[in-house]
Amino acid sequence: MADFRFYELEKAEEGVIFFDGIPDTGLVGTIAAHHVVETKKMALSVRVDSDLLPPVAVVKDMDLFEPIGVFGSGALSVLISEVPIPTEIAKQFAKELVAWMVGKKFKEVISVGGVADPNRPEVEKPEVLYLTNSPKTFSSQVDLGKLKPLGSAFLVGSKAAFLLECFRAGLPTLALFAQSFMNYPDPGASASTLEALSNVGSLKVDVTDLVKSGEEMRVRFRDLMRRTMGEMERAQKSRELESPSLVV
Amino acid sequence: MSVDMSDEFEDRFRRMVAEARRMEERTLRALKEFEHAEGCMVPLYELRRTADGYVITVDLPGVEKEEINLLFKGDSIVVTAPCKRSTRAARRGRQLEYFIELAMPRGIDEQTIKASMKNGLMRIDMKKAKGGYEIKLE
Repeated sequence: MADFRFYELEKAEEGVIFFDGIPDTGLVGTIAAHHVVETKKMALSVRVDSDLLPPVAVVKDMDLFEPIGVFGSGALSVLISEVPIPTEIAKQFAKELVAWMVGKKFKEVISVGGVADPNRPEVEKPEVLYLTNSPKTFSSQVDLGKLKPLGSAFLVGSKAAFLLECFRAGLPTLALFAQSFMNYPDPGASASTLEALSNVGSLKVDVTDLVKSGEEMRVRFRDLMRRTMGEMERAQKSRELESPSLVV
Repeated sequence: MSVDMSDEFEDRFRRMVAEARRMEERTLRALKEFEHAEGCMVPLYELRRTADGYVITVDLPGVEKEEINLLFKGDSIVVTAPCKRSTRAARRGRQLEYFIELAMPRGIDEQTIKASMKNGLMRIDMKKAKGGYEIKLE
C-alpha cells in the first residue's frame, strides 16, 4: 500500500517538466524552486501528504496546507517542501513520488542542488556541475559544454534518493549542482543554476531579483536550513566529501 | 520461546532515532524560545579546523562591518549586530538584533584572533597556541 497520497487539484497535463525543490545542501534547490514559483505566480496543483510525515500544516490566507506541494503552470511543475524530508522515509518518499511522476507521464526531470565547498565565501560566481542520464534530451536546452560534468562522487540525502529513483525509472533527468555553502542558505548558488537553465523555456526566469534579495532570502530560509542541517547529519552528508572506491 | 532478533533490533533502532529527534527538538525549541524572549535572532554558524587553528563563520545577512559588536570573553566570543531584514518580529514593529555567544575552542592563542566580513558573512580566524616539543625519530 502506498504511504504517500497525491491529491490533485487540477488534472495534470502530460509531457510536463518536473522541477524539484527538495531541501538539501545550502537549500539551493529550495530557493530556486521558490523563486520560480513566485516569479511565475504558479498555483498549487497537487497536495502531498503521508502518515509518515510529522503532523505539520502550513497556514496561509486563512487556509491550511500540507508542507509538501506541487505547483503547476503549463509545461512546468515545481515541488516545494516547507520541511526537510525525514531521513528514515527519504527512500520511500522518492520511490512513491517517482512512481506518481511516471504515472502522470512527466517528460523530463530537472533537479538543482549544491555541492558544499569550504571556499565558497571566496567565490563570486559559483561554478555549476551537471549529471544527466540523457545528454541528448538536454543538450538542446542547456549548454552542457559550458558546465563541468560531476565526476565520481557520493550524493547523500533525500535529493540523492530522488535522483536515484529518477534514473532507475528511466526518466530523462538533469541535475545541476552549484558550488555552495553547506549550512547557510545560498541564493547566489540558486541563481547560478537558474542562469544555466535560462534556455529551458518553461524555467526561464530573471534572477536579478533573486540576487538582489539574497540577504533577505538568507534570513527567510534560516529556520528551514537549521532543520535541514539535522536531516543532512542523520543522512551522513559528510560522505559527499569522500570519494567512492567503486569503479564500474 | 523464540525471539525475532531483527524485530528487536529494528524496534531498538526506531526508539534511538525517536530519542535523537526528541533531543534535537528540545534544542531547537530552546533556541526559538530564547530568540522570542530576548527579541534576537541566533545566526547560523560553522566552526572549521585548519592546519594551525580554527575558522568560525557566522551568517549575518544585511549587516555591515561597522555595525558588528564583537566581544572576546576568554572562553567565548559574543557577537551582536542589528538585523534590519523583514522578519515576523520586524513586521510587528520590534527591532531585532543578531546575537550569538560562541564557545572558543581550547588552546587558542588570543593574540592571533582576527575577524573580517564579506557579503554578510563574518569570519573569525584564530591560531592554536604554540607549544609542545619536537620528537626525534630513532
